Amino acid sequence: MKKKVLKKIVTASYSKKNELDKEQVDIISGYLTRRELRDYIRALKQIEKKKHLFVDMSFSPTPEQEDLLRKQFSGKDVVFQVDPDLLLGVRITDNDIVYDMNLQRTLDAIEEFIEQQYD
Amino acid sequence: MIKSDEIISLLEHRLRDFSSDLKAQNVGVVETNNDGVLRVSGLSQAMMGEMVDLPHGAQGVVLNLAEDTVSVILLSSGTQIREGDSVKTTGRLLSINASDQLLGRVINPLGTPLDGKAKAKQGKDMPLEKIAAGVIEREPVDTPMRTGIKAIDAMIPIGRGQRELIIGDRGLGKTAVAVDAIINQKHVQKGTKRVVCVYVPVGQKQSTVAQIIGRLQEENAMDYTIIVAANASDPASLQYLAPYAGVAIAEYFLEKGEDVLIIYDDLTKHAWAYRQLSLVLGRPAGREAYPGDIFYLHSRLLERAVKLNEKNGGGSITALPIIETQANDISAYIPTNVISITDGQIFLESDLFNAGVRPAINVGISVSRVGTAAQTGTMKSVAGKMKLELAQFRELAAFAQFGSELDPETQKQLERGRRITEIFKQPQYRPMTEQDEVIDIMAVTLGFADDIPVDVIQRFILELREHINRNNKKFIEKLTTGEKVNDSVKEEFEKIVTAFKKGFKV
Repeated sequence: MKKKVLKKIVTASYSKKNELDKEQVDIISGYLTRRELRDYIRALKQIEKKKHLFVDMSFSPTPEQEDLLRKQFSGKDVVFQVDPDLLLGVRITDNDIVYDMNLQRTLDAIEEFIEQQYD
Repeated sequence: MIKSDEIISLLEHRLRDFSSDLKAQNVGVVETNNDGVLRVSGLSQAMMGEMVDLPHGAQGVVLNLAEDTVSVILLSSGTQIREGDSVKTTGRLLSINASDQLLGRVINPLGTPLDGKAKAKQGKDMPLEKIAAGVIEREPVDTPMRTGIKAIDAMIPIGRGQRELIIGDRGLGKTAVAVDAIINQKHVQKGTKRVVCVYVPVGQKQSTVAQIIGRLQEENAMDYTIIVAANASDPASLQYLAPYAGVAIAEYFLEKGEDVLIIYDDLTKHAWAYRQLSLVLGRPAGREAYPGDIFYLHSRLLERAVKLNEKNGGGSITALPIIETQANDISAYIPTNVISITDGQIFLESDLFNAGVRPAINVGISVSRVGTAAQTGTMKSVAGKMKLELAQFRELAAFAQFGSELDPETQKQLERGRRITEIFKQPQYRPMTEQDEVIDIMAVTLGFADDIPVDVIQRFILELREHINRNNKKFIEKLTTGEKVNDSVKEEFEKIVTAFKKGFKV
């Protein structure tokens, strides 16, 4: 499927409120071949990924912390997740950019540094 | 062994900066994995040539930037990489860690040791891709890079900072010429710097590389040599990167003002590896299915061979690229490309090899564009006459086959030519000092070997050299000055040879 055509049908799959229209998706997917359907689904996933922002924290955030982050990233749907493996700090995933500010990453970096410097 | 106090202070130092230690990484997802090339979605911030981290400790390099996807070549086996795996950018371009500790080591293009020893301690990260030094930073090539092979040092002299191509069919001794050049660097000439050697086997059999390493160790040449190996069983990505890793290490020593000799063995296989990568990356195929930038692949590599001026350190990188031809066809695509880039070529011919002339160098069509600027005065003064006599011999050689009666002058030229051809034969792994080369050449060009049968010439010059080295050390010292051979030196040589010939049995 040509990229222009794919872009058109993906745009047509969203309502005016910029939400995925289930009815439209059902209609469109009925006309697509298996390969085209795969590309269509991949394109929809990419757009959904861009709309969301994932915040992983080592503990449950307070309402004030949630508000602060939502204000920082207005225009995105902020999803909060708890990940104890981070030990301390936060990891923010914005589409394909990851902001790492956590103790686990620091310890990994120290381990790598020691491995490189010493026998 | 790291002490526990050091670990604690390191942790404290790192944790002090913890709160302000922000790092943004670009993360993508693997869509496909084909023949060592990954197509990755995301990675919108990836740079061309940037290294990426993959699961299971694998690494890759970004080589294609498309609208929605990025193509990454794997630097190791990719069998564990699956669709959906995450790929992270590192913010670093491809580089190799270089230090003095690499001398004597065998590594792969990523710096991983292949000789079973521990990894060398952290040195300086040298980029694999780098723009070569500009015109202003360079100076003309004027210092000899001696290979220890008579035919080359006399007729096709190589200078430090030059690019001299070694070209010929398989099995003619191209690698042997290169290895002899490395072995010869253990003799550091008076007034010159030591030469660090970097040998880059690309796509070679591991048994062949092991043989070469063994020989270099026997000759104590590994003390100043680094081997950057990408063997035939390594991925095409490593074979593509190996020459660049080698020259990056050479540039580490260049920046310290040292002289380096780098040998690429061979660039034909390098071109094959790049062709494979380009076809899998979906780049358009050109002549012989090579990509359109195949010339640039080698030109940017060989341009990094340089002779820097004193203001920029005075170091040099001399490159000896090797190209394998098929049926002596030097007009093929890759050979013509590399011939047009280099500053000369050494042709090895199968006819000469089969006729017993080894090294099988065709001095008639071999060229060094630097020429006598890369020779000492001593060698220049004795080799010039020989070149002329050899040229005359080649012109007359065809007549000799007719068997017709020739005039005495022609006969004399033919006999002289045969003797010169004979002295150019040299055993493998026996590089010679300049003094010994000059003795051999003078013995023939001054006519002292004219009455020695051709089949005895080798023994004659060998015994003459041994005689002079044993009994006439002062004469040897006169040949080390680098000055032109004058009449008094010639007279002294005549006396020595005359005395020697009295005891020499044909």
